Amino acid sequence: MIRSRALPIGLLFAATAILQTACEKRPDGKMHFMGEPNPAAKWKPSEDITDFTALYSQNCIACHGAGKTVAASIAMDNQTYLNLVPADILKNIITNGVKGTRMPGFGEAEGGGLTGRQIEILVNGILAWKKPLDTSAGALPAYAGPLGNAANGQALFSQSFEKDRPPAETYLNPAFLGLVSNQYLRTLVIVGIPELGYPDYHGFIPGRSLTDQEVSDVTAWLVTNRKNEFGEPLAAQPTPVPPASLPAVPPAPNTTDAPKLP
Amino acid sequence: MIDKATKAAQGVFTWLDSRLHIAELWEHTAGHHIPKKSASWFYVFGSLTLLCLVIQLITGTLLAFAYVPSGAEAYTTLQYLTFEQPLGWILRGIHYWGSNFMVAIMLIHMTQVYLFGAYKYPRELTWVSGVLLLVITLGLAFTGQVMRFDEDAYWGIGIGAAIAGRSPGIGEQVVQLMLGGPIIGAETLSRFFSLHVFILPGSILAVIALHLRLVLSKGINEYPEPGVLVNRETYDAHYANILKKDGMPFAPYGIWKDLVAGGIVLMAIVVCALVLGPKGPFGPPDPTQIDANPRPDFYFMWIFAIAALMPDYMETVALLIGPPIGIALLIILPFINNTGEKHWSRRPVALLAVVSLVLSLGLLTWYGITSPWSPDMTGWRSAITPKQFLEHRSPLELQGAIVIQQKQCRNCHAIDGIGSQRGPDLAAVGTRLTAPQLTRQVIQGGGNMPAYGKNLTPYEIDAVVAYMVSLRPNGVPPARDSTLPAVPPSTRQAEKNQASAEGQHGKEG
Ligand code: HEC
Repeated sequence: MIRSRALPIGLLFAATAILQTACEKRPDGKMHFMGEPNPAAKWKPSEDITDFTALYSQNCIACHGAGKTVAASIAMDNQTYLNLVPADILKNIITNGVKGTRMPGFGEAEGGGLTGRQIEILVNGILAWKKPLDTSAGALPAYAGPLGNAANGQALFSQSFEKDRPPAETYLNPAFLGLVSNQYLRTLVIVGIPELGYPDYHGFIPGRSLTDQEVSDVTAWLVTNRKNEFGEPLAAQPTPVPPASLPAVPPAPNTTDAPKLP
Repeated sequence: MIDKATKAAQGVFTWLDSRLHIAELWEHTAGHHIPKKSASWFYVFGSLTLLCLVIQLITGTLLAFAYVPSGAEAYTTLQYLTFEQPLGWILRGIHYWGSNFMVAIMLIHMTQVYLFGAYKYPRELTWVSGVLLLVITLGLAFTGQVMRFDEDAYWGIGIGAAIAGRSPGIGEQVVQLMLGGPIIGAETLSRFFSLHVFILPGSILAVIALHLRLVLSKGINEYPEPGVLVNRETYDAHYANILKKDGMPFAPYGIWKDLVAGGIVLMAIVVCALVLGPKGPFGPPDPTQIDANPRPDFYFMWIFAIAALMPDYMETVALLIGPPIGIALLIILPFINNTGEKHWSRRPVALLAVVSLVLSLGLLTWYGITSPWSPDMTGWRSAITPKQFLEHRSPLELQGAIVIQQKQCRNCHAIDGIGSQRGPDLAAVGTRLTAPQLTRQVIQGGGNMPAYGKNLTPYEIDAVVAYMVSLRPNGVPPARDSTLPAVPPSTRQAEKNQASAEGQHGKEG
């Protein structure tokens, strides 16, 4: 008698246990079979992606990193950079790229495939990472500026960085200088790539922070080291003035919960 | 009371039986006698294939209620079935997994029949009809993949049409017939739909009727014994003798094993559907979906692998001539190998053939599933580089890392496993190639890599080469030109010291 009841009950338990392991909890709070297609996985045209984290990790992260991801160019969550860059310039660069450098334009006119709305989401999301910067050690230089005194820049340069950093001379490699814009050099001197040991304006020379004028001087020195492919020095080009005619981006949403870093 | 009821039931049965001949039908089908030893677990795979077909017919009919076979609407109805329709995804899942199981079990069935020598006299036509069933089933599988009308299906037909289009002389007409026009259009899906739901299921049912009739009239193969040879003169008497001595009705003595195995297969299909779900639909079926990764379902993966591995000039031959020859060989097999040993232990060639076929198809399938043949068109923007491949790099090397992204090298090349695997992983490329060799590879390409000569400035080449030279584990010296004279060990040590001083993958290490 007992045996005849134990068998079906045992089977029932086994079946329930098997079905249970085939289930998982989904964001909607309910249990679903693992094989049930997730509405989030439904294909949608790339124009419809409006999630900042998705947009950033599909388009920017490889070169600009953020959070735990390190990349070869300036990180977009670099606090010095976020406090330095004007929002309209950020938007302009994402949309149109920087001609003559490796930064492509992501706007539709450049064939980049992002809509204006998506670029705005990116700009707002990036700027939402911004926190107030501690400038007690030295005021933040201006984003853009004219080239300064190259001789003075050279003098600053010769007080090379601390030991475990890339030697200052590596900045003078003509191929490197030939690949980047004047503005990139200036920005690099100000914000650095701290994750990779490239100092910002506080650590560029030992003991004190660079001033705005000194940043211009160092940039000028770097620019005068540019050579063409035959090793002949090039005349220093003036820093291109960022186009100011672009519509300003609305200020970043003043939320405390900044978008998640990918 | 009970007596009365039994009597009434008997009366009804006798009345029906005298008109429908049910008892006789039973006697000749489920009740037919089989050799006792053939009621074996090895003999269940035929019934299992049939079970899969029944599952496919039922789920397919149900799917047809919602599916609209028009180029414009098929994709939408698939999305509806998958995401909206209650339980629609389970239906799609069972139909998808049912087809996978059907092909797999059918192949097992064929292998068993072959190894047990069941195709020999007098069951040649049973085997030939089975080969026909294989062809029709593969046709159903191929047209079924097209019913899942998404980007993969679109490119799948494209590839199929391109293969067919190479038929010498009649290529254009074949493509026309297949697609209903020179390109994939509105007609194409209708053609595949009527093949998939009318023509092929109709034919498969007809051929199954023949196949089963032959199984019943020629009897199920006796369990082979080593040393017992098939002889055309004596076999029929021999088989009749086995049945007389050792025969028993299929139902219930043999059928219970088929039923148990059937229950297990049914459960396996449902569990696969519940846990792994249906496949796709992926992006919409149109030619702008260049990210599509048109991998066929597993049963065609080996063809895909052959097509991808073979030099171009051999493709036409192998894809157009290979399969027809294979099928022709299967069809003539029972006529050229008609008598003699049935037991596999006395047929080393047959055993070897099966083992090598299974191994090569298995390897090709595995290769097809795991090998990344298509570049990932988004790798350049999304494939990150781990920190140790960026640390302690000069500004120029960092620019090189950026060139590798911007010039879309990452669409084909992974770094430390991250990114597409179309080309070799670049994580340690600096240990394999010298700067001049790297420069040559980038400028001239080769071996499925595009030549970048015109698309890179000299400085970009400097940067990318400098970066790749730096890609090597800590302390490992850069690759050396093997055409230079060998250096004495002392110099090599000095080189090594220098390399670790430069310390590429991490100075601290
Ligand atoms: C379309 C895909 C594709 C793209 C894009 C591509 N490669 Fe390749 N690359 C390959 C393949 C495939 C090979 C293997 C070639 C062979 O087998 O000879 C290869 C080989 C190489 C090698 C030799 C690796 C070795 O270990 O032998 C280097 C170096 C290389 N690629 C660098 C680059 C760089 C730098 C770029 C970008 C400028 C790039 N590749 C873009 C597909 C690609």
